[in-house]
Amino acid sequence: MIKYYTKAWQDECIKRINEDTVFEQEAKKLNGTFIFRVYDGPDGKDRVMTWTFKQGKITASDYKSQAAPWEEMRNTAFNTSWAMRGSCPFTMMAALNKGEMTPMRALSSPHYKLEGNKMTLMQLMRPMSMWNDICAKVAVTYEFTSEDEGEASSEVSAENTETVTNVIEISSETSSAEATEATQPTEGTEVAQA
Amino acid sequence: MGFINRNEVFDRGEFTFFVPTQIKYGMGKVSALALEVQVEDDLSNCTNVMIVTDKGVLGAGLIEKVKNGLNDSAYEIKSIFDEVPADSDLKIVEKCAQEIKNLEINLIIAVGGGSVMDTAKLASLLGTYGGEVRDYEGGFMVPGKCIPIIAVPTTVGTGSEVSVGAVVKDHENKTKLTIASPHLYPRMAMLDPEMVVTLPAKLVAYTGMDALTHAIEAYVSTETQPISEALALRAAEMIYDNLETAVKDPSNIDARAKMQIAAMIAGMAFSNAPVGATHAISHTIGGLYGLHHGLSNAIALPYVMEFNLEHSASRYAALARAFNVSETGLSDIELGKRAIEQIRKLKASLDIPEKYRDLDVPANEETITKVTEIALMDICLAFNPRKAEFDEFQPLIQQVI
Repeated sequence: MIKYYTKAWQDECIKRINEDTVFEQEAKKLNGTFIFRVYDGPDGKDRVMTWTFKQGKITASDYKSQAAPWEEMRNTAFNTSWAMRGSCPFTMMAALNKGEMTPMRALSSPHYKLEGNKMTLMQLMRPMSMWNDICAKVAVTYEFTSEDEGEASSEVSAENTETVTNVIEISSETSSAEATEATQPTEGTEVAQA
Repeated sequence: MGFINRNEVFDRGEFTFFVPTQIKYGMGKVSALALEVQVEDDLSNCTNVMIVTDKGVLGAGLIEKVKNGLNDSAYEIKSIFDEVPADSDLKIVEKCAQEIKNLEINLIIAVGGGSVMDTAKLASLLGTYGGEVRDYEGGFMVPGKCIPIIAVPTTVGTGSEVSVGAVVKDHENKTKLTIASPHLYPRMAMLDPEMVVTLPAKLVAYTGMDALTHAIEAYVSTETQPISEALALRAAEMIYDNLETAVKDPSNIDARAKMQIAAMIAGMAFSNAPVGATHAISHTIGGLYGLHHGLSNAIALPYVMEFNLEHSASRYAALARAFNVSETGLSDIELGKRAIEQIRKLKASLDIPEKYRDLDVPANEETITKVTEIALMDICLAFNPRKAEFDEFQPLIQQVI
């Protein structure tokens, strides 16, 4: 079982997104770098995940993790060249991915921070919702004590339980630290997750 | 540092400001409607016209002004859809959209308040692309341009004539749906003070307080920027200076004209700096208990300002100056409290109740919990300066109910 918010999970999400022809068609407007910081994972780590889209295809990504609190990552200023940065605790991101929390609820919480031009992000609502939908369908476990193979202790999520066999190649023009992702979908009003 | 504004650090890395609606103002302007429309290249051939309105506007004789304004022109009024209720509904939108399709309407003139203008926007959407309102719920789900709308406001509050969104009630589920898209901006807003002189005093009060709420919430929105700030502060000042007179002296055209303009300015502000917790609460109360939107906003506004005070102190201090508080030597928090006091006094002068319980909203635990839970799901809370979890938000709801 893939562990949520790890490199393996991101790779599987990227594979599915880049193979999804409907997404490619609908997400032409999705361009730029989206960063998600997720704090206090079940393994005691902070994580940062970067996704760079060009015309609806993910062309670069990055994932990093370190023992929490990873102060340098937590204190990194937002860069306006990024499309957005979302930051929240792991439990909140997991709740979003599981559909237990709506993006609207997350956005009203003091524990979720969204940076970037929200008016622009709202215009990307539809492709971001689709992005979330695809990621939410990856079967994952949310409880693990290590990112290494075989350390998961329980599982949740999604209809699709296949395991990952391929990790796709992506051009790696982005190297930077940050990372993340978005979660599940709702009715379209949302920007919070992605 | 200025006397009003605090010259705070400009911490917005980027922003967007967008209002595509053409604004035309003038006493008696509606009488020259055909002239004003025909000079616009994109509207000159849109001659199959539907007027969307409500029975109150029709009864007040305002539609006659519109008809006169189109006399002897190429514009033909194919239909007057006057079935919009005070709190419009999905079924009305669908009925209006069907008529738009049947009659091949290519220009809509919305004459009324927020309910009429929002119905027109959504009927234009469905009349263009089909489907149901729910298909487009949320932000930016409208695929493209819709049938153009000329908005002629007859109230002094909604701002819908220059706003990005539309709200409609789903009466079956007792919820309100919000649809926002740049394609929902009216093509033109025609502000004619003659269209608001007959507005009943009670509606001037409610819609005027709605406009004041738009201005204040835009001013402290997480997405505010210098353009919305300027618009919001000026709108708030104009409303504070004119609302009571506009309510109590209908013959004072100056006050009503200024209220009409202020409501429009506040609409421009909040379309680019979305409103916050007052609207989240008001949408919830409106959905559950059918209270007038402006009235519902008016009740919640001072409580939400108290809730936000420490997060928006300097902004509320500037509002105090706009509300004629001239004392010096006060901290921003103290000035913010003065601004809230001024709003409470204004409300009292307009006979607006203090709490929802005064309007028969049940003041019990079950209601408080339900309102809290629903309001926390409202998109508007995302733009409130103070974020909150249930335990922080519930006491606010308890107070306001």
